[in-house]
Amino acid sequence: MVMTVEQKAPETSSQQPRTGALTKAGAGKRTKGRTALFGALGTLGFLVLWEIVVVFGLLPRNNLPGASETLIRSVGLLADPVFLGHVGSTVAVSFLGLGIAFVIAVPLGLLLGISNAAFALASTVVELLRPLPPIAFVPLAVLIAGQGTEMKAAIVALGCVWPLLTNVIHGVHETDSVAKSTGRSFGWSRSTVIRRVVWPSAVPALITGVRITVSISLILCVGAEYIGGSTQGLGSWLLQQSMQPQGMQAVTAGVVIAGVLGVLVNAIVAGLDRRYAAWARRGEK
Amino acid sequence: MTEALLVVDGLRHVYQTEEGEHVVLDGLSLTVNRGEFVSIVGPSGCGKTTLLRALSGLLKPTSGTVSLAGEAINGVPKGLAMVFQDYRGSLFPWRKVGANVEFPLLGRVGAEERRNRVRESLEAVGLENFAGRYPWQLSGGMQQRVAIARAIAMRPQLMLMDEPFASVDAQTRSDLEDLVLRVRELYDMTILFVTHDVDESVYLSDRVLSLSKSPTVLTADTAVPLPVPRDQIRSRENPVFVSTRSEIAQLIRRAKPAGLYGPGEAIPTTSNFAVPVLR
Ligand SMILES: Nc1ncnc2c1ncn2[C@@H]1O[C@H](COP(=O)(O)OP(=O)(O)OP(=O)(O)O)[C@@H](O)[C@H]1O
Ligand SMILES: [Mg+2]
Repeated sequence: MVMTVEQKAPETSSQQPRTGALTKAGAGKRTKGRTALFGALGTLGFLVLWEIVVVFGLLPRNNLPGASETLIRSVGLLADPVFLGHVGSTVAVSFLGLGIAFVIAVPLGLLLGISNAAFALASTVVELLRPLPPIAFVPLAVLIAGQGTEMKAAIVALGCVWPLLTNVIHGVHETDSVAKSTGRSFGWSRSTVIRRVVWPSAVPALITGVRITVSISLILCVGAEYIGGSTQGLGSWLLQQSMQPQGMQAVTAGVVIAGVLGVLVNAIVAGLDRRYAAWARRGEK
Repeated sequence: MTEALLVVDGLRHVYQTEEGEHVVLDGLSLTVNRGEFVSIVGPSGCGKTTLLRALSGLLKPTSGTVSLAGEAINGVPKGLAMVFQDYRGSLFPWRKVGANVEFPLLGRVGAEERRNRVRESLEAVGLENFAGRYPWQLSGGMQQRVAIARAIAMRPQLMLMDEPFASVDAQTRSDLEDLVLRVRELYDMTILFVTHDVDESVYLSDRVLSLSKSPTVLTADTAVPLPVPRDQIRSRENPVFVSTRSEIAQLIRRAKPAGLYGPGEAIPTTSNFAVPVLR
């Protein structure tokens, strides 16, 4: 469920930046409306299929709750302060981890993008570290930082720093060389050219990085909660529920809410993208 | 009355490439007087862009000196504006047209004065109603006008233009040529204009400098005694235009590395392919 909903989100939002300021009124709006309609139909179809599978007992061990039951339970959870506290913790820790990754990746990415020497020095190390799965570091992180916020934020930061870093470097490298020459021809110093030309050129790639990493941060945070034996957060809540009798219903409802949360966060970042990176998504007209 | 604004002396530039040294400019000397419109024509690849980059301080030449208003250039000098051939790359896509024109003035000119200059410069190129658009929402010709407006807003003593109209259609091109002449009149500007189009150089200039193939030297300095103001139809029909343009076209055709083929010499065709033998 989480996957279906989340995978639909980028598709919906990639439609939006393409509609430049001029074409917003016409065809752009129509495709947007259609995408929303198809998305709703797809989701509805999935829910109906789910209900049928459960009602007719098509699964071997039939303890999956039905769609209607799950949705009702989800709505109930939204009024449950204990559950909401766990969700809040997950969101807060994810953003903390993402924030740490951001603060490391942006200056480092600018440096590695601008200086070829620094890039040559660091690229091998980066390529070696990047493929390591962050979740594999949970036991180590627990030993060093315990089972609380520090451990979870560290895991999230570890997983988010690479996509952010590579995107910032890519953005800096994509800066038009004529744009840089133009800045210099204004008599600007190197640092002014970086601030006024290179940095704005890299922002759209940075936002793309943020879009990728917000989803990653939530996934990693929940994962770290499961594996790291944390007492707070959505992951811990799901684990506790799954051990209770009749817990399956709560677990399924929790997963649905996690999915919706993912969609919401994605929509916020898509809004950022429209506001700050529309110029880079203009396409060739 | 003639006061030298730009003086270039013995300019030489050598690019270091994987195949070794590539001598592009081989001792160029030239002078542009205040208020003059001077064009530079030369075969493709002879180093026109390299020359302008050296004049604007973007590139440090291997040797030789450049001075603007009596001061030796070392780094980008004040009082100089460059209009690049690639207007797409030269306009900043995240800034609207007005903000693009204002950009070089930030931190140097007060806000009030900036607003005035932006309005005035956009009016001069006929784009006063487009300040709120993004450059990429405009046509190619309009974008190049924005780049010209931005150069005007800088109030330069010398405007350098590198094949600014190479990628617009013929009609737009003649409109832009007249625009540049008007702007020059309006702001009393000195312009050094690079082009590969002989007609364009004659139509616009007081003087045309022609270059050889690389290693590049100056092959001629031709005055254009064509009456002003110029007119797209009448000026081009004028016998002076016709004779000057063929004189310069000859120079371009006879360009060889570091000089000219003599009048009697056979000029090799550019094709390296042998002519197939017919049986
Ligand atoms: N950065 C560089 N490194 C090495 N060689 C270069 C470099 N830039 C240009 N050249 C070479 O120098 C020569 C002159 O280039 P330049 O761009 O100045 O020519 P141009 O006269 O402006 O040509 P065009 O009319 O096609 O624009 C060319 O042979 C080019 O290959
Ligand atoms: Mg060139």
